[in-house]
Amino acid sequence: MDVDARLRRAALELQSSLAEEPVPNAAHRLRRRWPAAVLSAAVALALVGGVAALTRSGNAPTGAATTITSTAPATTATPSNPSTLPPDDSLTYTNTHHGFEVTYPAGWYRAQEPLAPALTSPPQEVQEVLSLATFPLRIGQRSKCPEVPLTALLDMTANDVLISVVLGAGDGEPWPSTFGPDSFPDREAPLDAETCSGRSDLTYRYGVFVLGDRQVQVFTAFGDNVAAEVETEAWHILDSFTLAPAPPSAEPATGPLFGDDSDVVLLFDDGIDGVLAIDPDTRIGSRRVIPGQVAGDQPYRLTRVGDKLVVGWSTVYADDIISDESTRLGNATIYVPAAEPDRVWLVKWSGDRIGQGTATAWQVDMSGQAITEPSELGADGYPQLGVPGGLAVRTEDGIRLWYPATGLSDVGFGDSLAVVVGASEDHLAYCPSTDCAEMRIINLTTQETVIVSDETGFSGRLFGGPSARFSPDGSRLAIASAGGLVIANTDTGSARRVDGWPVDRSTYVAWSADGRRLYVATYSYGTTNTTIGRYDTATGDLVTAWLPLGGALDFIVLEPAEAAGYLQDDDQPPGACPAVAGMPSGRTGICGFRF
Amino acid sequence: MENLPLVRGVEDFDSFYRREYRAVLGLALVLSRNRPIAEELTQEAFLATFRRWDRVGRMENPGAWVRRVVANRSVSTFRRATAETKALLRLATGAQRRAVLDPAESVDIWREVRRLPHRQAQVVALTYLDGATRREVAEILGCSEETVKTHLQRARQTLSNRLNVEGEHGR
Repeated sequence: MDVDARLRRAALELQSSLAEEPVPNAAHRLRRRWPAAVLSAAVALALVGGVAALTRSGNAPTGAATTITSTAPATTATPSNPSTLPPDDSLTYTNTHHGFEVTYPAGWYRAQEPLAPALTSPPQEVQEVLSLATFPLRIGQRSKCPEVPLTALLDMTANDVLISVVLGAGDGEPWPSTFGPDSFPDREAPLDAETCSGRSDLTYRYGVFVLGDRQVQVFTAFGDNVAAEVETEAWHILDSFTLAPAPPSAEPATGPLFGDDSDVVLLFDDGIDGVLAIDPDTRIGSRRVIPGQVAGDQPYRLTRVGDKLVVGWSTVYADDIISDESTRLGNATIYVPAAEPDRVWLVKWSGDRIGQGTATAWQVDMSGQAITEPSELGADGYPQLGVPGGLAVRTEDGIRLWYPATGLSDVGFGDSLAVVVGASEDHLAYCPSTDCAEMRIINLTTQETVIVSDETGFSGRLFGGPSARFSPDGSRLAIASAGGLVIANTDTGSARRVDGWPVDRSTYVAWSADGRRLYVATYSYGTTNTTIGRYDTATGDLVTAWLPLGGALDFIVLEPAEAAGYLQDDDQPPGACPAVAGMPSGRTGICGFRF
Repeated sequence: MENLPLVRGVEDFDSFYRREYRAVLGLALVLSRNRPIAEELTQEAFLATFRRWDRVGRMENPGAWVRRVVANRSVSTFRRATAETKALLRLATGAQRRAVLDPAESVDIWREVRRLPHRQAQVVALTYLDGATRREVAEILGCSEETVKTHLQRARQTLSNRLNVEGEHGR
């Protein structure tokens, strides 16, 4: 049968099955049907670990910015605990990754924690998009390019919750709601003067929360060479998450944070261009810029390779933990951790943007020496993590293994929504679909797969980045999610829950070098506090502590001797160090404090 | 598309939606493969249409407009990622999964169509699934009939090679 006939037959089959398809209610009609509730808006943030950087006015980033303002204070959608409202009405949301900010003139709410008392809901389901509004933006000052309306208004009912703002550059389509992929506006996606088209790879962003019953005005201040669009979405989401913040533990004012010495230093990615170092024993902390580290590389990942920290994108560097000497590893769009010690993978797309053009990968050591020849990845793959000799790649056909000599494996795990969450020398942890309702661990040698499932105490939901890590010996997998903290046996999938860790927050985990202790910390980028914990796998003791400082993402555990270069005892409060805002931060050197 | 004549009276959007939903969903399914994503893309496309209904509704062919939206969004990495996130939020919190109507599982040829360059895939989907004429495809995609013809020929040739079947010419 020729192609024409096959296509016709396939079309007939599909049309036939579609004829049985019920037509759901149109999304625009659902708006009127939903019950009043302004509950789990922050669920989305907990789910996807979006970057919410709420800072006081005055921390505005430099350069072009998009400003979104609320013009009408809320009168009816007041949280149950008014004391959780910010002390003043002037707050600014700063998205450092996309270079825009949102000003909150009145009645806006500040972050996950203040919202929490209003956000505890009984188990229910996500409904549908409540209201979707797309706002066209100014397309520069180019005389050949049309101006589109600068502002738009979103009328929100008391039942609406605005939770996201999406920015993207247009591809020159004649109406502003269809636009193309593949570059961040803050990567200066150019606007073609002839066609008035541009491209952008901006990704979906969460982190703006506006309770309903007000009018939101959206406008932009992009530069004159960027075609752009802001899309805001209001969702009505009900879910079973409990969003109460972790209660601060009764911490001693002095002495070791966890009650006794941990003999570690925790090194957090600060999401911008440096790290936050915490010595829980001495209560000395510091913020320090890492040469070569730049904001914008996601997922947030702090990668230790031997004695180096690997940082950066576009140009990737290895920063010596002890000497702070920085080595350029190569020009690549991103790096991906390798299974081999002392190496990473460099991945470069021909368009120099993730997913744009042909991807080439090669492995380098920490001197920048290429270990493998650059080889094409093939397909539209997105490498996730290294496996022995190759990469685990997310493709349309699920997670496939890629090796330089043989290319992509034929067989994929999961489907196009599958996501890799962890890798060790011989195991790969992945979710067959991004919702992570199920997590699987596959033994790469035997191909045997075990499931970490609800029955064993794991409730899934790993949104928020790489929040699963194998223990140093590979025998256990620590999984932190909005659903809690569990530790799974790598071979059997049998998991046990760590009681006492808050079931509500995006979290990162890191093992001590000996694999006995598991450290866990809440995602606190853009907030002013972090809950951290130390779980002893031998005794089952979990000690939590509350830090009066935020700006923490993925982290690693160092020995104090290794971390000396990251710590400086300045005997000043944490607030004395400049807040992390903007991109780059403008910081230099190191700023120490005691907490 | 902006130049389409505004000659019609405004049809009721709901009846337009009910009439066109399945066809638009089919287009999204073929071009995006995944059922939840296709549903999101379809709803998005109709929402976009709804918001402009006072204008689109008076176009000669509002169906072309919504098809263009969904065809473009289905092949857009960014749009698909957005739709994926939405779909997952819906699924992740327990919404009932319906039986997945996944053409890729039953008909390999759609999988090959999706591997084509985006424009070619759109032309094939509109031509075969939607039964659109060359002129209609050109109207929907905002290009010339000659371009549609070229894309279709190249797509058939590529599909023919990949599927290891007899080549054929023209339609």
